Amino acid sequence: MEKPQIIAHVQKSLNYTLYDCKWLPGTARFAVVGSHPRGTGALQMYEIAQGDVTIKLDTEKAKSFKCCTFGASLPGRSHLATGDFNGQLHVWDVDKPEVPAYSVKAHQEIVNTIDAVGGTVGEGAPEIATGSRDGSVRVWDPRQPNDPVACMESDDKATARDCWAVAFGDAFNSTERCLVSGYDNGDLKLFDLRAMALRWETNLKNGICGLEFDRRDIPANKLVASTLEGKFHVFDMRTQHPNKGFASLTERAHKSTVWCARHLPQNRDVFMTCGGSGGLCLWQYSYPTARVAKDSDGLDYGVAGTVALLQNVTLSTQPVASFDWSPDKLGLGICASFDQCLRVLIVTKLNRL
Amino acid sequence: KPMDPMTAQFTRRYNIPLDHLDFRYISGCSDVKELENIYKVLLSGEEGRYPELETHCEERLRLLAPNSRALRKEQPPLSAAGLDQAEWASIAADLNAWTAAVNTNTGSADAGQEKSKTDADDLLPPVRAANATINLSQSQQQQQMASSTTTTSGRTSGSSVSASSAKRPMPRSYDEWSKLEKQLEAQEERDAAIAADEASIKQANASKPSPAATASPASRKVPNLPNRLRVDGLSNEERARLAEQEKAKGNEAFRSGDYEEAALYYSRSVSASPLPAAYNNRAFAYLKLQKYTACVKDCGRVLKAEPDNVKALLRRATAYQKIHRIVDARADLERLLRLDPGSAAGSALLSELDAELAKRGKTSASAKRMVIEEVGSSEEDDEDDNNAGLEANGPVSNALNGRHQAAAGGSCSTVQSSNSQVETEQASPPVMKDPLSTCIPPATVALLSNLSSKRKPQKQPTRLIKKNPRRSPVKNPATRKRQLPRMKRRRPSLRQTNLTRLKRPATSYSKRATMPVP
Repeated sequence: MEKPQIIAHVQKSLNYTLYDCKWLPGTARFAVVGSHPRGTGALQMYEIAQGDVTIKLDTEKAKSFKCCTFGASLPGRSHLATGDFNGQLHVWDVDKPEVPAYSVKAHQEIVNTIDAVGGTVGEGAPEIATGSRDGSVRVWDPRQPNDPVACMESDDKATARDCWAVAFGDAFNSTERCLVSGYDNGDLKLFDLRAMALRWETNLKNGICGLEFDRRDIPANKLVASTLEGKFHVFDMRTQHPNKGFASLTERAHKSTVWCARHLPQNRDVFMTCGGSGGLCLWQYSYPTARVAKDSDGLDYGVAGTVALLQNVTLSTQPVASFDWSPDKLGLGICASFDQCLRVLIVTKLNRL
Repeated sequence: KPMDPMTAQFTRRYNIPLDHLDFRYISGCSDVKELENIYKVLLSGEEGRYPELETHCEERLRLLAPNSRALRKEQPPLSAAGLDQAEWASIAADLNAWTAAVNTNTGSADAGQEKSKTDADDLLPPVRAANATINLSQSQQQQQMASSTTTTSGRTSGSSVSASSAKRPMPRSYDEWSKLEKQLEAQEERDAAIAADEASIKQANASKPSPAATASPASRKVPNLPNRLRVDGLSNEERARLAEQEKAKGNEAFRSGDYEEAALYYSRSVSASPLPAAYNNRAFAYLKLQKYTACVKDCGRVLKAEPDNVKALLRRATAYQKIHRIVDARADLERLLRLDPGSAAGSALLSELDAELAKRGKTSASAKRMVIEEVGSSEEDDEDDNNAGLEANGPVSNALNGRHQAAAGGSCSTVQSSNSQVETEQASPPVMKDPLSTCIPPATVALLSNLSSKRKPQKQPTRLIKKNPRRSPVKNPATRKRQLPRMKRRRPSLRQTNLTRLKRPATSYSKRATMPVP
């Protein structure tokens, strides 16, 4: 079987620090957000055309942007939710970016991470989750101004750990939803938003930089948590044991921080991890023969599978901070790294996996 | 003593004896860890550069541990220049075609979007109840208490409901005592409220995992989703997109072995857009779930749209075999082999069917099992009919399987299934391997033929012989038409016979043993 190949299609050097990049679903356009050296926020939209990317939108906003997502954008609209260094959450209509469609002061400190569900992916109300350095995770609905619809925080602000990653999952019907958040001391907490309770928590020993469920619109199947010190964990979320929690496997990669893990939208068992040494690794998960086993008390516990490295490449010397697969074209991806370069990649032979 | 590189016996890294950096040693070494270390030392070049030794070591390591981390190489990404010309041309053409298609789609979609946007907004579920808070520190303490580890911090730190623990002075008079009583009551209520909260949180935390753990795996795995998508009012492209999404989800669930979930997603996909591909996949899922009639139905739909679909023919043939419609199975397999003569699974299945037919002794390939609706005049036949409760018009397979299950008992064990939705037409013995993916091993063929021979000999052959002398002899059971039950002219009807036994004395022509008349 031939291995997938990673091809660097376009490389564009920009004049600001890139923090995040996301595809606009249903189109060949993507958004890039970052920070100008003077502390203002950069928001750009590019389009793939004939072997190059053409710029469609170039705006500068008041404060540097840290993260962005199109997840709460309903089909047919292009609403980009961004979190900035001041703790503000804005939702921009990229066709009319002068005034934000929704704006709220989400946190007192920088919004480190953002995730959204309910737009084109996931059933139910569109919601945006933000995690911040002040240790709280807040869920916002663009139809409700000023107040979050859910808030997960600790009363003791002094000892609260920074939240570095959030991810939605389990959004397969309009009532079910769960949110997982990762903190800088390795805490991983799974909240059930329907019951509004903490469902599970664990500690992964290293700070969690990236979290993603393999698919948001099915009952939670797998969760990948990428951490500092070159590790990532894959949890099998189908079976929860009351004591052991979820089964997981750990893998070392990149020899440096694994910044994020992104699943291929067309195949939930293939994902890409981005490393702090500027590399990308493509992995494939295989399920064990029996995903569930019974322990001595007769309770079910999950069995983790195995993960195999399909391909790895080194793109730059600086960390690759963000990667996004195109939801419409198999194998097309964009990545942004701290060397101020935006790259468009094509991964071949994924349909033969 | 400082290590002199000229006389050193071990490498600086990993302390490997220098003798081990040798072709013969590496060829004979089976210790993966040591090989990895040797490889890393060679790559680093600290002991010198030996390219052939490096490749030899890499090959040996790849042989022993292909997934070893030491074999991971950093390499730059490919570029258009590094690829094969033709390959790059096809990739670039594909990408350009896609961008062109997507741009035209967005252009046409924008025109029709305005009206549907407000409609879509109304269809959204309402905003979640505002400002629900999950208090992390409190829930952390609940977790700690639930797992019964000692907490160093007191209850009050971080808990949102603070209990006043100030000491109260002893009362000096009865008035003070009544005031104190009120305070104590209030305090008790607050404590009770806290305890109730904790209990509910603990229960929520404890009960959250237990339904997932103790409930049957089936109920957790199949999501609580409607069988069809809400697609009224959506454009064709939207429906196609949703259908494609659901089909992809179904494919993924199928690959991880969740066949019911897969069948659910495929059903949702066909409700949005009834493509033959989705029906075909659903048929396969039903086959894995042993819902053979449903599989046959879906394959029928596929073949109506695409008469040459090889996969659908094979799946339908397998399903027919399982519900003992051998003739239909053979017909499908012959059609399959005409379209795809090289199909290994098809020819294996066909040979298996022939073997089964030969075991049963039917010479004509078109033989069907017939239920004898007409009853002879013999008593045993009547009683058999009564006991088996045969409906004259009943479907063949039901009656047969009823007999099989009664007769074969334990030898035909019903196949394990994790849910109760399995239909009754699965009295077949478990097949170990998927006949569609691999050829059926001879062991399984032998098993099948064994099991078929273990079934008790059916009554039909004997009953064919023991027929009513008044009626014309049956020449060919296959050509005999299924007939409605003939009116039994001479004897009263069965039901009446029972009644007559009780009420009236036996008539002379009834050969049944009469019940004693009270």
